[in-house]
Amino acid sequence: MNIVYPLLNVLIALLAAPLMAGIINRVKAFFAGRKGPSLLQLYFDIGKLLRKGAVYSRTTGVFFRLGPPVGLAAVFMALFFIPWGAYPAVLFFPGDLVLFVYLLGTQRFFMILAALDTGSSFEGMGAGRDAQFSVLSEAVLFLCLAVMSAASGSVSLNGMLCSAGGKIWQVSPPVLIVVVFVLYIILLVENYRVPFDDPNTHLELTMIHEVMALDHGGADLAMINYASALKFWILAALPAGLLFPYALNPDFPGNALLFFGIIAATAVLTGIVESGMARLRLLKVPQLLTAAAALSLVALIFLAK
Amino acid sequence: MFFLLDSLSAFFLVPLLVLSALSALYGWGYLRKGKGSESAGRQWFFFNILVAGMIAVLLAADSLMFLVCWEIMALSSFFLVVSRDEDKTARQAGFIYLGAAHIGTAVLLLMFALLSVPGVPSGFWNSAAFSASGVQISRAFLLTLGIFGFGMKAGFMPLHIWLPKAHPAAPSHVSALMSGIMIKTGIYGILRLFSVLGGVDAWCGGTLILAGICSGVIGMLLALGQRDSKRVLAYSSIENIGIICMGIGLAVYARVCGSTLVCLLALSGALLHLFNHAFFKGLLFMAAGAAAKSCGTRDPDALGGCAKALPATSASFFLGSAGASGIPLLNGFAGKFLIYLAAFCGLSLKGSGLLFPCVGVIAGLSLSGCLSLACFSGLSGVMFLGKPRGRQDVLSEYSTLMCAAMIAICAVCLFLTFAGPLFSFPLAGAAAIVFQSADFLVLPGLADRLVPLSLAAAAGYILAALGIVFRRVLLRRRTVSAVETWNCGYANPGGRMQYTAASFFYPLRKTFTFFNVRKNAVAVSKTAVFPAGYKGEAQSVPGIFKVFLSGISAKLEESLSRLRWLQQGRLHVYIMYIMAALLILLLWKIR
Repeated sequence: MNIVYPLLNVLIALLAAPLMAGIINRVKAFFAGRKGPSLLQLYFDIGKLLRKGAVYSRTTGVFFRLGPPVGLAAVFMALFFIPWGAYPAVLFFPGDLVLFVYLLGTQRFFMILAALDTGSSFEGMGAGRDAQFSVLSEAVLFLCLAVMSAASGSVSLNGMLCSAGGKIWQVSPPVLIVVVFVLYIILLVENYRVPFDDPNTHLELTMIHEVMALDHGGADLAMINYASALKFWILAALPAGLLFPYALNPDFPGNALLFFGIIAATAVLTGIVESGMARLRLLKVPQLLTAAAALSLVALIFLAK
Repeated sequence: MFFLLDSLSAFFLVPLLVLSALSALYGWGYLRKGKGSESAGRQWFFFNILVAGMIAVLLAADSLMFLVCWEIMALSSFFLVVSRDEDKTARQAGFIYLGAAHIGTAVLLLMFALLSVPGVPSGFWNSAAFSASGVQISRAFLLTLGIFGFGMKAGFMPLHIWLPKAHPAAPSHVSALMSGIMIKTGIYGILRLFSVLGGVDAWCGGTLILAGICSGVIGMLLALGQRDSKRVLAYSSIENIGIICMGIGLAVYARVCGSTLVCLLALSGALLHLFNHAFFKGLLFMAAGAAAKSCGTRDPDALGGCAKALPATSASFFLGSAGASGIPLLNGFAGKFLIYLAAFCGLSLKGSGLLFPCVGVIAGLSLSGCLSLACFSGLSGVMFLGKPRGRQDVLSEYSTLMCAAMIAICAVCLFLTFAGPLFSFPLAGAAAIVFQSADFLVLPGLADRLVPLSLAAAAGYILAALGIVFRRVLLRRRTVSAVETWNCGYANPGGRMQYTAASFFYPLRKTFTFFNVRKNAVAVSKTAVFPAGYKGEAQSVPGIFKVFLSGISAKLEESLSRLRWLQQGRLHVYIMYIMAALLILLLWKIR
């Protein structure tokens, strides 16, 4: 197939990803009865940060400076393995899903080191919690991918989400609904959203993601924020890819728009979830993630039947 | 013909030869100055014997030769473990190691005795003719003995007890060699046994997968609570042995189910991980040893901020940590990737009977992988980043030779990151020997599957470099200032206010309390009327194994103590025992 469409979709993702944060905040503002920031607020923030100088802590060394660019590079690479609706991914090979998850892990590895490089106990605290959540969430993500692999008979993300098309739904619809639900939980925890972490929290002690970026500023903070926006898009594209109605003609020009719509709907849903519930106690988080793991195991057992 | 070289032993020999040469270079610097240099001659003697013993084990072509070399390897490493014999914990570690090694050897002795063929003096080892000889011993029994005996050396989870004690006690270049290669001779033994028996069973694969999951996940959980950097590394070795073991188990299972591709991928993944692990773990042990020599402590919570004073050591430790975490930018990823790929391929095959083993492998690999990422990012960050926690004003690298050896291994690790595709032929050759089948040699595609990884690593480095250049361009004409780290407005944060390894891992240990209980003990010495002193200790206790193993050993000790009257401690009684034994044997022969 033509390489132009997949590349065009990567370009759309690169341009549109920060919009999702705007949508979430607008939805939250709507439920709180406020007017809320502009939909394009994150673009303005990133633009402003890129025009600023830099302030580094005297304690920090190489890793503090390595964290943001390496993290952004890792997420950027992961973007190329995601199929966009009816269009295949730019790159795919057998087992690319393993590389995909480990790229997200690479970002985390460098962010944890950057956080510890500041010598701040707040950043250490955030990094420790991040490590705790990620252990469970990445294992659950692998289990979800295992279900999708068993259902579609494919070992690449492209095969699972794009080539298998609507056929994956003929295997067992209830199983896939469970998988979509679990993938959504992973989206929330990996992007540090409520109920796992509250991006609006005001106290360093209670933050996770925000506190790990506490000492970053200027271009570094811009890279971190942009990487977070891309990560939201990537992880939303997994359940969106499963839900995408493939019965439509692949040449239908509205496909890309429809896929974009599903991701935007995920952002709206996230805004509603954040307005409707408070964040969990930290001790409850592992229980929720273990429940998600159990759900995906149940899905696998159904498939084995 | 006592020695034989084939593609399986060659695959193990390459890392052995490279790593032992670089360990020797490191050891030269490590032993040259400072306290304990009077025993350097003894250490070099046993170091050389150990390397020779390992080479001979890998080359041995008959059972007797194998057992003799196996014993030489175990004994010489024992003497290296107790090289600081003035230290009580080192002596204790040595005896536990000696005991464990000999239990393993005893089981192997039985196995080799059963494997021997009447008429041939020393039996078969390196030969496929075992099945043709018509020896009537159940394969299941031999496999059980082999997995137990070799598993003792490799450190499978319930048999791992000697590892976390012996590795920290040995000098660092020896721990690097022991963890990098010596425990892998256990894996070699198991693979060679498959080859000799000429066939495998599904239960054997299941057992290996289960042992691998236990070692991988629990090994890493136990690593989280340790307060000794080398002990963390020892537990992480158990985890990596678990990953290798999962790969081999899956290969065996797939072989029985008839899926050659899954079998090849899983076995290649296990072997490739073994190869890569030898280098990044060797590097980690050396860097931990160098940091301990420079800073005088192995407790990560007492270190911190030494990256600037110890550039080579800290860079090596970070590189090794990235390898152990399995991130795609270093060599720890390729082996895990192949095992994952094998498991996903097995899942996607409909009706192959591989569903549950594959799910087990995916779950075990992902959990242990994420735990090791958390563990090594936290450990290396706490040890080398931030501010110094203790007094470390005048730190410097301990020895240039040690730095040179570590930098060389860093280069090897970086080379291996991109060299994955070169391994496809040796891996297929080793797999063909293990399962005695030429199918593996004609199966295409191992190189094709490894090429994307090398490209991805290269792309990662290039993109990250582009990001750094982009930032440099942006900041060219702007002010870049230096301030204190933000501490909620507190202006004078000290090094001891930082998060420690204990606090970093607290949430994770809390989540998995069942496996990992942290105990704070205060011992009061009661030599006088008034207590003479206090000794506080915080240690991580492996919850289930503590209960399980100490329960068994208590029962065993109780029942065996009734036989204690036999052991008089007097020489003439022992001579009498020998006399009696000889007499009985004589009478038995005359009968």
